[in-house]
Amino acid sequence: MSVPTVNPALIGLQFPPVAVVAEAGQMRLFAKATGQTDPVFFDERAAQGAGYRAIVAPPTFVYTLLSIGRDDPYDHFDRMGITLADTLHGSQSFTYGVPLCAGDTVRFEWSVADIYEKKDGELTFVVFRINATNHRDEMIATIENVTIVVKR
Amino acid sequence: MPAPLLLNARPGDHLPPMQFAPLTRHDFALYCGGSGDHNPLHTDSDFARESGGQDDVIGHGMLSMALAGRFLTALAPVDALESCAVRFVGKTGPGDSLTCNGKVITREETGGILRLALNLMMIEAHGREILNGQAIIAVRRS
Repeated sequence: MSVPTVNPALIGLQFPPVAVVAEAGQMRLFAKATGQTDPVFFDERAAQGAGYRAIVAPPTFVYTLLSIGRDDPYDHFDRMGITLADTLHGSQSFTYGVPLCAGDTVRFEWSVADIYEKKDGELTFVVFRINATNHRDEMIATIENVTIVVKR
Repeated sequence: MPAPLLLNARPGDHLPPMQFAPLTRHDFALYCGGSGDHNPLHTDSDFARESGGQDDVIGHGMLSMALAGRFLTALAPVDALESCAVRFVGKTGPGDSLTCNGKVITREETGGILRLALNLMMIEAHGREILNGQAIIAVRRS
């Protein structure tokens, strides 16, 4: 028996919750960097005119706050014995609730939902389940990240 | 308001593709700052070659997904998006011209809400697949 690349006993591991404020400037930079042009992503008045509380986040922005809200965005890999250079991003999904608006405090609760191997252990799939809620306890998104760890 | 083409879309319809300008290192740097993903594999060619085992920097998978998000926000307001899921199947690099394609899979209309399931596919100019996935958009007909 070879030693698994990622210890399957880590299934169920819960990480410390992360709380982070969605800042308008960060959201504008993200929107610019990803080709958005609709003023609802940049201008508070335009966003409010469209019925949002403040400028609204593009679809995948919420996930970035989980990195932005931590001193070391890769410390969950460290904790699991995963080397960043051995990882690939396999898949990503978002199921949406209420829109994320500037000024929201986003709280993340996240855990390891599954770990499984493919190709005789050459590839290990690690599934992270991430729940993002706002300061009103409304669900912003349920996110699933599948990270592939390549055996070295 | 959702684009009229969405209101009239039927299963099997291909939505107008969105073509993006060729990716640049500058795009990756902006995404690095915008997303907080500071992995040097995406911005530092020396690191990518010496430590990343790559010929050059590679694009963030989540940048490709965000461009798929850009495709979707051209179709409907961002709060009309119910879900989006993608698999990353190909790398991107500087110079790659990406095009996002969408095809309507299902259409249902209940209680004044029009809900469309779309297949998404991002390809690079030589036909190489970058990502594929699905999205569900729900818009109120008014």
